[in-house]
Amino acid sequence: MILAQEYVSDYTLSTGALPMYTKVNKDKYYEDLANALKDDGITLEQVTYLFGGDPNVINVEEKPVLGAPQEYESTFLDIISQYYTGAKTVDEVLNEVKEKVDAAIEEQKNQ
Amino acid sequence: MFKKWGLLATSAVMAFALAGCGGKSGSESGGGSASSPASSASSSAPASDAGSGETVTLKFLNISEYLDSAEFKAFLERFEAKYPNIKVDPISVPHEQYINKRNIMLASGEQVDLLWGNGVEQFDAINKGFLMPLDDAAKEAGIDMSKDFGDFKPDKDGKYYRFPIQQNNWMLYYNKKAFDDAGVPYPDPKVPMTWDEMADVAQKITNTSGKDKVYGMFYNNWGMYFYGYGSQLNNGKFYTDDGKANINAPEFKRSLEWMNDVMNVKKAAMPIAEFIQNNTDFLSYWNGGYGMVVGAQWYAQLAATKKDKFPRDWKAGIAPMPVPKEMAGKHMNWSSIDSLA
Repeated sequence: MILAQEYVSDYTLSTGALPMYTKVNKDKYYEDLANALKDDGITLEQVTYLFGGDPNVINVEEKPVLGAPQEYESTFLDIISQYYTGAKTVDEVLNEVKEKVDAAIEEQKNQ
Repeated sequence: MFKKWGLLATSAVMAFALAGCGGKSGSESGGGSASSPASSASSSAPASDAGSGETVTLKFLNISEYLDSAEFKAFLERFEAKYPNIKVDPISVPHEQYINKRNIMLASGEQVDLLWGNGVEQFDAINKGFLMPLDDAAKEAGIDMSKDFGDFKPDKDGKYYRFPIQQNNWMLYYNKKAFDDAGVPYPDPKVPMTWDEMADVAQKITNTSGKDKVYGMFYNNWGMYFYGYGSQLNNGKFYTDDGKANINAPEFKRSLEWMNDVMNVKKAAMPIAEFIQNNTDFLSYWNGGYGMVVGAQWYAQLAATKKDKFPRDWKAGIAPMPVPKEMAGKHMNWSSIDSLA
């Protein structure tokens, strides 16, 4: 158990993200990070506030993760570039993404 | 946990996953315990019963940035010293190749026992039937999936398939030199800019006339850079109530239009064709030719620990992630849970 906890702590140190439900010494993590960034003028207070220390932060979904999530993401990225190159309108690309993702969701339901 | 090898993987998954249980076993001292979670979990896996003395090898698929780290290697040594009958075989794949490699392994039925993934990758595997539910194994190991990981909801049809590890923290990174050169004040360290304000600042910082181009804003060719503003507006409603794609909702349209304004009207971000043609990736931000980027904690980690790999003659700053004007003054984050399955 403790070894597993150590894994998460190591994981934390190697990626910069705090684990969600494992008790780690967040203060030390913040201090170490702020210390490494002090030449940039980044303070401990800033690090603490932005790296998970603000209890009032509002979290929203980063990406679609339910029906056909991988198809959702890849289809979206494949198609929207046509909007940014001027080949299609925003409505055209979004409707096209929706149509293809809906089909992928339906297909996965039937699998 | 990969369905085909579910039983074999149970012991290790529990051993890893119990990291999230915060001392549930009472083995706080770090010393061995006859009732340690790994040995308890092993009893549910006949082939890997810790008491049998039989050694099992578990394949752990993860990205190189994690598995190749000194921290993981140190962990592995300690883990295998403590659980000598459980060997871990890390399959290390560079981040940019990870999804393809993972999909091929899963689809071909190749053995893999533990999988790291973000929400998209794990749900994709769940939906395609590659993963097995963990509820029964968790129950046998004494893990309450509904409580031991905080407010962690079942993944699908009331069942759990994964153990949460971490959640990203997103923020605004900025290049102080680019701001100084343009005579623009730094972003407030506590009060986020609105996306409209960010677009204006990006335009002021942009200078593409000289030899060394500076774009006011950097982005990655990842979905959240295009639809993330919309997710802030509609609380991440990527699906309609009947489970269809909601990507044509007005909030996402506004989000895409914002990016178009920055990229093609204000000319404050690299055109997408150039971005793709140049093989630009998220590390390109560190070449100094950009004023701002929205990024998660890994940017700071790179700035802090990889100074030799990404040398720079400019200073970085951090500020809260921009928000829609409707959420002015609020501190927001894009939440994505990385997990083991």
